[in-house]
Amino acid sequence: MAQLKESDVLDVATIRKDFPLLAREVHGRPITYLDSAASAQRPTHVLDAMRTYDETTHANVHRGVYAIAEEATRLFEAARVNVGRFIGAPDPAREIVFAKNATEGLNLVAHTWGRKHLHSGDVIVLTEMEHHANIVPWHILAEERGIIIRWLPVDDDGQLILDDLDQVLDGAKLLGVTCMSNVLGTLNPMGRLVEAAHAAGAVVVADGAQSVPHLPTDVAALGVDFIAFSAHKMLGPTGIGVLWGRDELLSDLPPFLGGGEMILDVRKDGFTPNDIPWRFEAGTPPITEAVGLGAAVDYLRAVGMDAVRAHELSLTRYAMDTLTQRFGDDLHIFGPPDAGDRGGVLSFSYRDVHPHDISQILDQYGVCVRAGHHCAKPLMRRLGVNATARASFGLYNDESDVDTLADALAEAGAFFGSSAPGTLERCTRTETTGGRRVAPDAWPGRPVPRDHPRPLPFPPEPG
Amino acid sequence: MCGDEIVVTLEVDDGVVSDIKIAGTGCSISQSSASLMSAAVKGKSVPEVRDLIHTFKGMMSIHESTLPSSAGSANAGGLDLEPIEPEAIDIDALGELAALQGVVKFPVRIKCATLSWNTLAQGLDDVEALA
Repeated sequence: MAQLKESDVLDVATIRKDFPLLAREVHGRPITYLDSAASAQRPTHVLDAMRTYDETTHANVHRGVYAIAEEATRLFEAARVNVGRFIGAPDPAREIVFAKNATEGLNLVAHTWGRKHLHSGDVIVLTEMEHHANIVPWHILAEERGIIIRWLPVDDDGQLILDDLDQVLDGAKLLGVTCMSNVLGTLNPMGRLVEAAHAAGAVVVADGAQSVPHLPTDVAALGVDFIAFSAHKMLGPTGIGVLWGRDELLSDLPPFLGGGEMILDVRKDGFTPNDIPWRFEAGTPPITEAVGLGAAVDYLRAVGMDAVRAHELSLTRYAMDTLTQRFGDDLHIFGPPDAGDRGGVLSFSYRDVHPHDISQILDQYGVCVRAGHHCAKPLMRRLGVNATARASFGLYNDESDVDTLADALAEAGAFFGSSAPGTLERCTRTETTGGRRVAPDAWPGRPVPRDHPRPLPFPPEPG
Repeated sequence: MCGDEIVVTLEVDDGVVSDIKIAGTGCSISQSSASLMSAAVKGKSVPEVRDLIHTFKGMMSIHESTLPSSAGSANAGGLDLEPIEPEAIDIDALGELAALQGVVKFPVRIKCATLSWNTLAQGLDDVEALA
């Protein structure tokens, strides 16, 4: 692992060396990865930890008495405690449940806490900006047993409208809310929401998929009752995620999936479930992936989540300023206008160019952004769009990535007919060669003659 | 997956598509494909339209499989299987639609190009069901 400076401003050039994939090229150009909200890249620290485990220690956990089985178990449970400490869990050994991902974690709450405590006519509250993972499990329950869903609305700036918060929560048993929107980047006022929910007697189920990887998290201070997040969004592998739940709530819950590991005893006439957290972990868990998640947590802890937040805030501010300066009214950024109110997620629309087309042209320049509804269709409807393009930042992004994004967007604009007549848009790019920054170089521009009949929408060949 | 929606309104008189209207929002590829489709289809008989749909989808590399199911998927597990000969596509029959050939270079966008065509095929099925 590269030596990291203790500083609020991250040494991104050094950090990038830790991420092998960021050295690759796409369509002959250096990759500019701006889709960490969908999935983050992995540092060698994580990849090495997983490989080492697989090559030296792998065995099934909680079973064998032989040396490597004991070692595998030790590593697995150490990862559990490690990630628990990372989020400030009061009792990590008991309160951290490994699931497949955040989605499965939220389903776990719906299928256990929801089945036990929600009955016909009961009310739960969700927000208009929720990811489908914190909507659909509740719809499934609603269809099954007639629970009622109320919605906290979102204003035009992408903030929750809280004027009627107490009325909306009145009589509700549960509040489902995202700590940070994966579309708008909005950081929700968790303190206020938790206080109001608890006052109304509702438990708070938080979606931490975007927040835990990018902000310091302390579940005790947050006050939520459950929070779910995914390893692959925080520099870890796919296939593992976490549900944290308050000990007294988890202890009270029935099992989720049934099978081995989650039992104390199985007889012909029934079974005795295991204690928490293993009660909710049926079958052989993703052991290698748990080791990977632990290594990801170590890496993030070494960088420092305060530094990560400071870096991404600065970068988001730079991005919003740059895009506004360069494109003015042609580009609309959804969500809070103040970078301080949001994480490093920027959904935007660019003139009348469809997000698919934006995304494809950006791809030709090596820029990776996401286009679509981002698993938030109710939010899309509220925003009045079918889809947006979305750029998102991680700790390995820097201002030159933003500049490249802007340059590629300008190319997209030129391709679809620039609003500035008679100009050729030229791109500049600071080239990275093996981690060393070299002098800026001009991309070959691709002129679009003004009078040329508009070609069919195929992106240009690179170079 | 992407959020695009297309509505195809068909008028079929005596087995001929006498009128066709397209509405909806979509990306440039889905819009241009839909627009070219409606021009190509108007005035053709239903069997001719079905042929055109088949030919267009063939150009988009969507071939109805004629392999027996025991053959499995091509190149499964690195096995050396006979390459499947795609049936010859009459590109000339497609006229202006041939311009969309380049879409196959971007597999993710094939669905954009075929969205309106799949909707059209569904519409023809609905017409047939009513008859």
